Amino acid sequence: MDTDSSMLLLGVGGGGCRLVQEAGKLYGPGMRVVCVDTDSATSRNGMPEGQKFLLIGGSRLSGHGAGGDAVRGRLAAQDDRKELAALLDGVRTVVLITCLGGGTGGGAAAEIAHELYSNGVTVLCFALLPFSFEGEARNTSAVQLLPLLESNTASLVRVPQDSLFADAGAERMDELLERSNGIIAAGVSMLWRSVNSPGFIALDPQRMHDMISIGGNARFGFSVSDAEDRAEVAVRELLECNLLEKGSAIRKSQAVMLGIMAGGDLRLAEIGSIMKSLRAICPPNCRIELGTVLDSRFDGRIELVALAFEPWRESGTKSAAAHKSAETGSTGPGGEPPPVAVAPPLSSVRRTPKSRGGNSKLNVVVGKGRFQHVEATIYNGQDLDVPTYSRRGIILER
Amino acid sequence: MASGLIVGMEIGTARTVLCAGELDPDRNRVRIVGLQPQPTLGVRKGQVVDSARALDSVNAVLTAMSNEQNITVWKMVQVCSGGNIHAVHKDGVLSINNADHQVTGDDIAEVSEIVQNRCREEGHYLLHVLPQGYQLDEQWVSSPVGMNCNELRMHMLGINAESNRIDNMINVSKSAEIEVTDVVFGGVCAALSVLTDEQKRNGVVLIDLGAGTTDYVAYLDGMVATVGSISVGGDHITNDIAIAFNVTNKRAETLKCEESNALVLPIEKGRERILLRQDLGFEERNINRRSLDTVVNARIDEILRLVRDRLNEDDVLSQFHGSVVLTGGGAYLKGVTELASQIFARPCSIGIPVNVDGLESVEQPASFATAAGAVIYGFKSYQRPRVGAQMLGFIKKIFGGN
Repeated sequence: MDTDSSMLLLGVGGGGCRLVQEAGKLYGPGMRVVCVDTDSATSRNGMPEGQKFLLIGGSRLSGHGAGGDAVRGRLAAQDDRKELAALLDGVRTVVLITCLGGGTGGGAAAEIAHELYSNGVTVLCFALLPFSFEGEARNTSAVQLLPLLESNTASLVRVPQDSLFADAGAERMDELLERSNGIIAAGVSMLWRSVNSPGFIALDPQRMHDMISIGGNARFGFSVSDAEDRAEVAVRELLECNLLEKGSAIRKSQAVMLGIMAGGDLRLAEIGSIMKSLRAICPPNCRIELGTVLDSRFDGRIELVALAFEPWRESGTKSAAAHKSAETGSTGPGGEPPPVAVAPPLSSVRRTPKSRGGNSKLNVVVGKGRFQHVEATIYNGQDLDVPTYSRRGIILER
Repeated sequence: MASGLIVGMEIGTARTVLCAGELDPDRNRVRIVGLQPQPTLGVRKGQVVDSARALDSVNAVLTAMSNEQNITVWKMVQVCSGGNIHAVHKDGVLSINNADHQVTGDDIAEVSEIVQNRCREEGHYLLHVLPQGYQLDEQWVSSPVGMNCNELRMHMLGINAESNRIDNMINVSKSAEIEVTDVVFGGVCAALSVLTDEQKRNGVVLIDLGAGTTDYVAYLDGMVATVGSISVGGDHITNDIAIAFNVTNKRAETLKCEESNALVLPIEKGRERILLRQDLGFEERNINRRSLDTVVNARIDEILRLVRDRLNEDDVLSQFHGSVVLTGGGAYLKGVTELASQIFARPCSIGIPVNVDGLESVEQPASFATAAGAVIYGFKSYQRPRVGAQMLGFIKKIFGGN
């Protein structure tokens, strides 16, 4: 399998683009990176080699950005849907990074995730939540978009920036920003390295794809140590980091993807020590997938990246590819077309079996009103009698 | 019916419109002398769902026309719309075997018959056939009679509609003891009353935003390039509002027409909320204006994009450099023309029925474009013989009075 072309790193919005550019620089050539934004300033200083930039909503917003308006961001993504599809040709798995609370990062990211999901692409989304000091409006906007992202991605990794900064451990703002960006960038680039340029333990791309497809939401954790007992220190810090809720996310998880990056001096005993500590707090039936990356620049140091997946679905449940075949009218096992009028593909109703607890108050079942007993208008698998705002997953302010 | 009058009727989802016109022979222009709109019941998405209630609506409009404008109707041209209506592009070939290989009028008639037969679909009525051009061997020509060739090819656009749905509509009129002399696609009617020859030459897309359906007609180089109808319209906007804000359809309609904007723009300070006054069964409350605009914008945006997608599928937009014209009641919603302009990246305006007289003092004239166009269609059909035979054998082609 051509792993390079089948995986793509996609940054949406100013914050998302900044992070993926950082990850791309860390990884070096060979990582397929696309940045999408409504603000042309994102690409003003040129894009790093091998990275592409797509300005969306140019005719609507003239490259000036969405102004913090998620609706504008969504419309901008719709405007250039075809151009985006062309950039994603041949891709099976997308790691999407976005900073929520704004216009493009919020609205466009949700729309793009939906488009990818509808086309059978598996999406792992890192959604950074605003700082608490950014105000109620941004935080509310971010939280409101989470169910929409959740229902259109295979796995959603919520990264509260408050926790990220707490783990970064610096005091100056510029240092904090640099370190926290570095954490996300390092974590994402390690995923790539684990698959594409692994050490002696490779993370099989198909297994990673499967984990993302049928894993639930995930939490992300990161640690680094250059101490003498670096393995023990790194794993301890990983299990105590705020991003993983001080280990609570691992204790509740049913699957963990762990990446170990070190130099050529990585010892088998260190890997054993890390895995032993991890298994000690994982639930008994937790599945652990390990990948290692060796880079001589990391001699004397160990970095750990973990994705802890919440409820683990049995294989055979609905994946993005199955969703796509349902939308295009393929018949299911019984030979019957899927009931499109009953289950619109995009709505604020959670799709089974990805339902999980919490946030149910944001989900409202929407009917068809006066078109309930009228012949349905079906177009591209969607029942157009169901309100458009509901099918597009637009959360209305009350 | 007064001698020389042609009557067109549109049984729409929201209202039934009866329109009577006469021809000014000196100016060769139609003048509308009677116009009667009445609310419709029993019709959804342009289709009859309750014949009895639809009949009541037709009778109401006939009575109003008779009482208020002293026009008694017993035959008319009927307008139809609906998602079942679609265009087919076909061509047919005829070998020119006469001694001098010259194309004659009979050859045109014969090849036209061939193409029309190809346009027909089982279970459908062929409502219109629109010649798209001729090829003599490989050369495109506009008027082939008298020219030499071995092979004459004719290209045609046929507009088909499901026969059962058309029959349901006609049966309502028959039940009202009205003879239907012809059935015509709503989009074609709207184009007849609104579009100028210059617009058609430059390229134009007409979109009729009705309550139950959205019809569209696209012109390239003066000819109809494609037509279509989508069973989504203003009623869907109203329904979306009613569901989003838990209000009655009547209130939703008022909110749509008076308060909403198809564009989601910054709200002026002090206008962020809309007060809904107390009504039977509803307490006084207010709703978020921006949310209202968001709901309306989402639906209209989707409708217009659907039309755009259809035009792309028919490879029209890539050749299209003209403008967009909106008709129907939906054209008057605030922000619609601007939104359409954004989506099509073309200038957009409301289509006024400039090809008829008599609607100058009517409020929202674009909402009567279809009915007025049906009258024009009636006169044009009466004046010109049709190309080939029509499928609608039961229709008597008798116009202009007794």
